[in-house]
Amino acid sequence: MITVKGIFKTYHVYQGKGWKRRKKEIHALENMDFQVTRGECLGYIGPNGAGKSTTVKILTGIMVPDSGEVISNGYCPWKERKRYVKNIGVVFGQKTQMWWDLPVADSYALLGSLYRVEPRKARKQIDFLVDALQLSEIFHQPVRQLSLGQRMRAEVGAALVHDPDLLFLDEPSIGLDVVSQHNLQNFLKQLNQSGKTIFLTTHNLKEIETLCTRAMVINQGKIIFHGTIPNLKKMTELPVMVKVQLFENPTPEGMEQIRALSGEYDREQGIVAIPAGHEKGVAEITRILMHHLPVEDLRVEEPGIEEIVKAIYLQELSRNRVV
Amino acid sequence: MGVFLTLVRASWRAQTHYRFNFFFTTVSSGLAMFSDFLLIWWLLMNFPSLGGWKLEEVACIFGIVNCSWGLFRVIGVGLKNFQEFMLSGRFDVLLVRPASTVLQLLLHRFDLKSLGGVVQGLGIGFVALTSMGLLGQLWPWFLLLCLLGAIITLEINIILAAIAFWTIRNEEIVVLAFYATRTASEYPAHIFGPFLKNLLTFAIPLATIGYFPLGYLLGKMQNPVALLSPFLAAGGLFPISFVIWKMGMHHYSSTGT
Repeated sequence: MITVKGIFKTYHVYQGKGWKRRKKEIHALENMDFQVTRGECLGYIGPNGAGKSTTVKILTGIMVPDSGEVISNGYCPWKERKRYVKNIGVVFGQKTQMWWDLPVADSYALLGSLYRVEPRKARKQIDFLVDALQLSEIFHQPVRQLSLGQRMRAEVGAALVHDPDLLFLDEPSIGLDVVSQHNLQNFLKQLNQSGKTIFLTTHNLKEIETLCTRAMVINQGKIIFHGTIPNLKKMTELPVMVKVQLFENPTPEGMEQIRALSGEYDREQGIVAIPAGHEKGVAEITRILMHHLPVEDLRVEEPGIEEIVKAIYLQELSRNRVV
Repeated sequence: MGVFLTLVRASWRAQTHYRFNFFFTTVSSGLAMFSDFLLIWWLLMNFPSLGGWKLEEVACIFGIVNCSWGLFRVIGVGLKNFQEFMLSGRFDVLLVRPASTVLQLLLHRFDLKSLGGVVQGLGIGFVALTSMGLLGQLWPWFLLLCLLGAIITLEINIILAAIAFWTIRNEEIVVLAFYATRTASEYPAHIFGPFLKNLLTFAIPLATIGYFPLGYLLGKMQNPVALLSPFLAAGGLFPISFVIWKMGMHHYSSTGT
């Protein structure tokens, strides 16, 4: 579906002010290669400023790379922009693609005619979207009156009025509550199962786990991982952390226990962090902590995107050094 | 074409939703323009003529310039606020749709309230033509010049909007290069002296909307090029605005924001 070969992109930024400003090059993407197969849902992860949105802009035809090739759905995105975008849908989490003053229904009708969808087909697709995304209540309200969650649902629908085969989603669940996130993920899952290819950029690791079979991690303009989700987890082997908030400093005996569990104590914030390992699981650690420490609050934390990326990045560095 | 009709219908429904508000702002935008006209009226009450042009004749220029300005504003909201598209990054959204970006900007919003200005401009022009006894003879020209004026205004605004591809913000440039010259173009251009007259003729050719063609039609100029000037301006600006917009798009796609 998408083949990317040797993409480079460099930005020029000016540093300093006035006449003395210096030109500085920033390598947003360096020799990027990857493939997305038809019908797959690929999760695209990376810290802020890693080059994620540059990649998406190139894949959607908004930006031209300095060098390299992209063939997506049979077209080169930036050379045959108008023909290419006819069959893709794009959701930018932050930017609306609807008409601010008009009701959702009118925005959908306008999109239908912009994409030259046959009226009968458009009506059928819009009926499907209203039903699947539960839009009937908000369908005749002006877009500016919608809450963030409602707008996001309508946004996803707006990108699908012309029933594209390839869908780019940029942080679709940003600002949504848990229930809306869950509903949106279910809908995307359905779409994916019906054969649509989805390219999902997100910070939300849970979202990637529920939707995607494969993920790609980018850092500083380079892809540092591309594979299945279990492999991603296995590769990093970051432990689940048990974190407790204490209401007073632990006794020397409590400190002893923390050290025995190879944990750390942050005296300023009063937080103890223990990695759950092979010999002692979360339950066991919790029991010991509750017994020996003045615990006020307890939570279990899965490793976040930032930590996973950092771990992969460090691994990469050390491997290069060995070679 | 279907898109335009859908948008007209939708805009009409959305903007007339609060009927009183719609009525009131339409009338007041017309009135604001009329107060500009009062200034000219007052000037010509005190002086017999403005650079050899009588009140009715200046009123004709005023009518055409404002009618075409109103026509432009109905569809030009997206171009007028183009820096917002740059600042918010919403221009990206236009690029992922299979239609020309300028067309999509024109489809951004129909400001039906600006029709108030169109009606005022037509009204002032027609009253002036009637009192000169020229209405029957000149009304087709008047309408044609309004239309050509709207096209020239559109082309100039495309060029000014395209500046934002490089500068992101372009509001000050538009105010300086367009709003000031637009007000000046409501008057006979020669009263400003040769520099401004040349500016309004060759650089930002707003004088070709009303001043030159009316000068010929009202028998003040002999050279028929004066009558042809709005055609020349509209035709000449078309490739220029097209190329500058293309260059801007190219710059945008290689740098992003």
